[in-house]
Amino acid sequence: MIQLDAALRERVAAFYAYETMLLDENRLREWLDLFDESVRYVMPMRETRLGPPDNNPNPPFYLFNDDKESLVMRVARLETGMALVESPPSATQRLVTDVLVLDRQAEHLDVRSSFLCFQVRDEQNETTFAGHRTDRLALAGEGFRVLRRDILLAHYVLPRTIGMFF
Amino acid sequence: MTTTAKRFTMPGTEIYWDPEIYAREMQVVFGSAWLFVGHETSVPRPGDFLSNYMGNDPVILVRDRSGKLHVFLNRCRHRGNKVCLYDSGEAKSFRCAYHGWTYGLGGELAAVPLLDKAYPADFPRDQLGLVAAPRVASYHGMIFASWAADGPSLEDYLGADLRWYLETFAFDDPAGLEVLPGRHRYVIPANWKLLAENFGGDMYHFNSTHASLLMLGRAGQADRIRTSGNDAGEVEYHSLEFVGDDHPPHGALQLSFGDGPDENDRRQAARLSPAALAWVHERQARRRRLLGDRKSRPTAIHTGTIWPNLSFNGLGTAIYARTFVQWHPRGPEEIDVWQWAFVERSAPREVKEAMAFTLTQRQAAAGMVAPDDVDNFQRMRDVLHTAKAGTLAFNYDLGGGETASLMPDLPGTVLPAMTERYHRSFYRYWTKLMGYGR
Repeated sequence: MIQLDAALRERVAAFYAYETMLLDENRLREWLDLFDESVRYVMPMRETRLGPPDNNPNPPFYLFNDDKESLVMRVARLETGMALVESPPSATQRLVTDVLVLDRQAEHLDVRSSFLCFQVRDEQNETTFAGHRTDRLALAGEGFRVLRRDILLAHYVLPRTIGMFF
Repeated sequence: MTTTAKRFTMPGTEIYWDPEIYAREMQVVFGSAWLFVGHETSVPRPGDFLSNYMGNDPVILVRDRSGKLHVFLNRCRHRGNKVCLYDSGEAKSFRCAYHGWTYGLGGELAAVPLLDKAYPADFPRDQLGLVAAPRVASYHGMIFASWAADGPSLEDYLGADLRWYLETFAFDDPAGLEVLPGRHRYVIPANWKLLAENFGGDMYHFNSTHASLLMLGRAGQADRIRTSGNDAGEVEYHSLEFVGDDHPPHGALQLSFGDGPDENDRRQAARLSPAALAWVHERQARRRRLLGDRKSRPTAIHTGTIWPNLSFNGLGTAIYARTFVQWHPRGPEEIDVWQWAFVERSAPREVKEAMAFTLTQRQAAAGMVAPDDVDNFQRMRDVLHTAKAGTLAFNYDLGGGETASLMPDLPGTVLPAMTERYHRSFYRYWTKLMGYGR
């Protein structure tokens, strides 16, 4: 953990609060603007393993393995209004907390944050996803742009398929 | 037509929620079937193991010191605790945490704490090994097990007709398939049969349920993840069923024709690398050889179900990982979905990456296809057995009346794309197997 001036810490916290608002208000085009053109957006599936790590050299079957173009494709699909997974839209409330700056370089920060994402579909079908994200944020004027996001859910069995963003 | 008189009477919707029917299924259906338990490339070396389920029973697939594969019930013979608590790994033995009974890789009860001091001399240690599936068999690297000591061989159970399609569109590469790291696992609030019937024969749902993906495709916004599936544009499709007296029913859909899917594969590969394009050309040439001089020239078979609960997706499309999905029953109204992804060993690295990417974007736990299906099934569950809804049957009439195969030169029964004939065959067989038939 590194010492960080209070003003920068406040800017990082405000960035995540703003992102959370965009996602919960379904303002997905504005949310996309937070991501750099070169972004990698990755979520692996969590599994338990005994002994040495799996040495399978093949590319993993991730939950998300997106770049900017594929994130835009996902948003465009939701915008058709025909994606069952979000029509009618879910009620969601995300809580993002424990924002921790892991590293600071001249051009970027590495930041870990915890999240709880509460989703309701069709009256009372409630799902909670918990996990944490490790972001690389580019310093961009007063704000930030996400260069890379690694998301790790605290689930071995997903409580539901995923139709939203973290 | 005599269709109406001959029409099979579907069982009522209690087959999707009744706990007693479910309990019987676990014995009768899952006790007799060949069930997929893992791929050989997940357990290549002695000591490698993989956890899975057969029906609702947890099992361990393990390779012993001699290289032989075993499938054991994951349950200690003393007080019934699980003996393996990991998804996969390397083990020397399986030790129960409760009292320490320890089993060897061949299932034998290798160590019992205080055996000499506190157990009688005639303690039947050699009869208290892990309970093993009596039959384990491998088909092109896919390992299946059965709790039934007797019954058809795995190859006979699959049947020659289904095997022809699997060997032409999935297992055609002499180098074989290999598993990708990262098995998806998620819950669907539905009875397992509803997903088996969906993958085995429900071409009908695609235009409605997956309309968003079709719209994206038609707008040219989904070229990067196009498959032989019906967002590939002007493709001719047929459905298939495999019904015979000597094997359980299997079904498939999106048997595609025309050059659209192949052309799409070449275009995708050309974007990746010259090696990728060469690999796709070689693949298409091999398939032409496998088709021989048949008049009917299918190019892919996208989706299907192998009785009872193993489905597949993406067979035949080059730049899309082959995926096999297990609909593990978790009570009458819940499925624990296990999804595996495979790629051809011979494919260049960039092709393997693109295959994984396309699958991730589509029929996967956070993709643009599977989550839409889950919304349907959750809403069906919500009105499955309320007071009035519980008295009403589902309708399975689509495509009734047809008989002979549309393409007799191809194995199996080739059907119009839009039919629920596989569904009817599935439940006819299920009814008989469960002992509910006339």
